[in-house]
Amino acid sequence: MSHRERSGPSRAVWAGVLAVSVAALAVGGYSVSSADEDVATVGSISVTPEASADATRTEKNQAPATAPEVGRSSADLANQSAPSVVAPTRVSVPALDIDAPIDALGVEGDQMAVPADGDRVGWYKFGATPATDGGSTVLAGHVDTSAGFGAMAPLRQAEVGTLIDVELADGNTRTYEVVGREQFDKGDLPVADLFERAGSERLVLITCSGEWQADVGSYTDNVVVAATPVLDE
Amino acid sequence: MRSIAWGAAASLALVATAVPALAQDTSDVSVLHAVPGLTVDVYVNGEETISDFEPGTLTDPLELPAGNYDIDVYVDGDNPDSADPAISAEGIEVPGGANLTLAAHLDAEGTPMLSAFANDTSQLDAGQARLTVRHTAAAPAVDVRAGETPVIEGLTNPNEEVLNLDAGSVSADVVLAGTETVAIGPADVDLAEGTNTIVYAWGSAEDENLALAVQTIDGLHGDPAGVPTGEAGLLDGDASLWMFGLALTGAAGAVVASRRLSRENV
Repeated sequence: MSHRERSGPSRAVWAGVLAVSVAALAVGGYSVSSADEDVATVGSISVTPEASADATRTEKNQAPATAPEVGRSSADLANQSAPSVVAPTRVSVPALDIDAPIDALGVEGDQMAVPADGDRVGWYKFGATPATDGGSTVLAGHVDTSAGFGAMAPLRQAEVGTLIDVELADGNTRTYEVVGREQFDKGDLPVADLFERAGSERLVLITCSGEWQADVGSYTDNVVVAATPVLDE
Repeated sequence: MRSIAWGAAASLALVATAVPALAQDTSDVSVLHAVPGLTVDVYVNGEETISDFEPGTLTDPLELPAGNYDIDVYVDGDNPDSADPAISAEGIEVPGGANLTLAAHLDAEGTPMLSAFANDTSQLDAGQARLTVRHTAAAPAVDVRAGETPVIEGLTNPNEEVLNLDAGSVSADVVLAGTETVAIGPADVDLAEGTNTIVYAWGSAEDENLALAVQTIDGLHGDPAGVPTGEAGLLDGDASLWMFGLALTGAAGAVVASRRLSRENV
């Protein structure tokens, strides 16, 4: 089963930027350790052998003999290409009888948009997809609507180890394993973590729970299930 | 927001250095070549930094320590020891913690000049994109239209205007200010969520080579404030037990659900 399109070019660009920044820091008299911190913050992004060699060879307070060749590209509008996105199209959790089509949605006001139809699940289209190189893919669906319970209602019974399949627009399926389930007061929802676009690949499923507040027409809490990819055998 | 003229760069530096964070002691500086018909070599503090730099080309960001920089732009191949620079600026102050674009371009009358623009990298709301338009062309004042509606009016060289918009693709064109006379476009511009998409109108109206150049700065996205995923209050009461029962009983549970629903909604 072939899975993901890796974004090779962006990795190469990053390596180039790192090489430049390492050299610039060295010129400015900064220690090599601050350059290393720069490298560390990009986590899993691998630095090309050339860039690593530059970083180790350029010593503290010693300017390189020649300026590094800076990367460049055409700024022509015609070269502006929207990145191709492989959207998730269906999510299923066999153990919980969840099986729902996915809509790509953005925001409504300052909230994540969720399909009005409780039988459907929304994917936060501005975040990661299972096909991107890391980051959090966020899926959310109604626990209930005026039509009854939503597809995501059983999410509240997810347990560690529960398997989740996500089908993608390119025909591939990515399998995840639940690593945690937590209920948050909506005011304490850790949105920066849940919607994080960098870092390791994970899947985040969200629905509602807690107490129903009839006066404002919403629940007090969100239930969040986090899952990580099941590696190929 | 206006472009920072060389004289004004000093005041920007003063503001920025008031923030004493080590992490902010460098700035990202990209360089855009927007002078038509002239391949150049760019020297920074006397050292050749960008060679054979062609019009319409943008460099990756250089991470420059805060400080003063002399920039000299020579026609490609000219010897800096004997030739005069085509454009030069001395003592440019690069503050710490900023994101700048240094643009070589024509002024409104067609004379090459350098402008340093501070790029707005402040965080956007979820779902939003930032559009920055910079007039760096030998041309009079212009309006910028999105879908034939003016969104920026009376923009002059070497100034900019910044808008935060819903992310998406817009069909944009540039018209002479206050007219329907199209100078550039229309062209589709992708305003990706969480980016500052910076569009430069460059070239020369007289030489009929006006064009658009684009620079994109990403990673400015915000997060949704919440996830509203319940509408009917069906979980009212002993919710988890109730859900457990539903999962076990299947169809019977659905009947219970609809009965409960009708009670809630009466």
